[in-house]
Amino acid sequence: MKTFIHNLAGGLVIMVVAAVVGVIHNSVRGSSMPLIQKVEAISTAVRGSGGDNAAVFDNPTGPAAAPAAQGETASTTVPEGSVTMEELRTMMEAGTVIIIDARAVDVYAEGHIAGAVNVPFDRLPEYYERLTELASPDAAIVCYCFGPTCDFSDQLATELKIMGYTNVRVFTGGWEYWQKAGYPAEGTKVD
Amino acid sequence: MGLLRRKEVLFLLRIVVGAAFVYGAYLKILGPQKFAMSVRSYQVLPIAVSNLFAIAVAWSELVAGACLIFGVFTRQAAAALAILLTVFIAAMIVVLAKGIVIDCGCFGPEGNLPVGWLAIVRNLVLLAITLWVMRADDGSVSIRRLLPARR
Repeated sequence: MKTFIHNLAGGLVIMVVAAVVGVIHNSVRGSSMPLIQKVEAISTAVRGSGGDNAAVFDNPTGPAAAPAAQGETASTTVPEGSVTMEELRTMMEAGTVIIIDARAVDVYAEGHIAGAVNVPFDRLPEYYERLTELASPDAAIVCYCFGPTCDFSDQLATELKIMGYTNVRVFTGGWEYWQKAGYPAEGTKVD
Repeated sequence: MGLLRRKEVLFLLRIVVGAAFVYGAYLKILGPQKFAMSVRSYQVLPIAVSNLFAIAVAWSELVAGACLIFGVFTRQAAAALAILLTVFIAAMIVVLAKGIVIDCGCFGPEGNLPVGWLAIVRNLVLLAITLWVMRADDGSVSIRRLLPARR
């Protein structure tokens, strides 16, 4: 047992030495990463069976289609970092937005918001190069996934912010609300 | 058990496990941003420390994997890999429990297993091997033996 603990301690020393070498390598390489990653994470998804953002999606025509009326609580306003369905449709029709579908390749193929590109969150690192060349840093980008409880779009939007994109938001209603509203869509299973 | 005590088998296990970690580390060091993305996709660590963790893991895999191959601080290197594998297995169990579907990120950005029981079993097998090397390696097959003995 004593030898086992001794070896574990030795293993930790190897890891610390290796980490120091890694940090030095990171500081001298061309495109170094910040050791402490500062980013304001986007969090718009509805947690569990309701949560703070749940009231936003009560409107059958889509989340927060109308501005919050006087006297309504803060939970009925659009969550920070998100875009309403009407806003997204306006931007889409004006051609001023890049829409990213964060769902898996097969569900994207079945149906997605018209013009949306697919960056499946389950294989995100594979798409790193494509994301770096996606648009100018200040381009308007909106991510979405299945619906209000899906947080892949939040995660993807946060990653885009880390990559340097400054105008990234999430359409929290996602494919579920877009489809319900009958807004423009593409895919093999779209009527 | 007699078979596993044989030097040749232990040496072979060291080479296979060490090479797997060195290869994985090479891909992670080549694309650190992608590996940091993988780390964040697990949603286990705070985003703030994800880059530092990614760097520490990638380089630990490289150094410990190389030590295992060359027989330098072999038992300690096996211990380092055992610690890493335990962390990976724990993180994968958390991801499974949360119901998140992601690539494991074990060997860089592409061609990975999804986080699931297959990836966990693979890591358990690797963990068993590293624990065995920790216990059974006697340093008889190592680069140190090739160097002239110090007086």
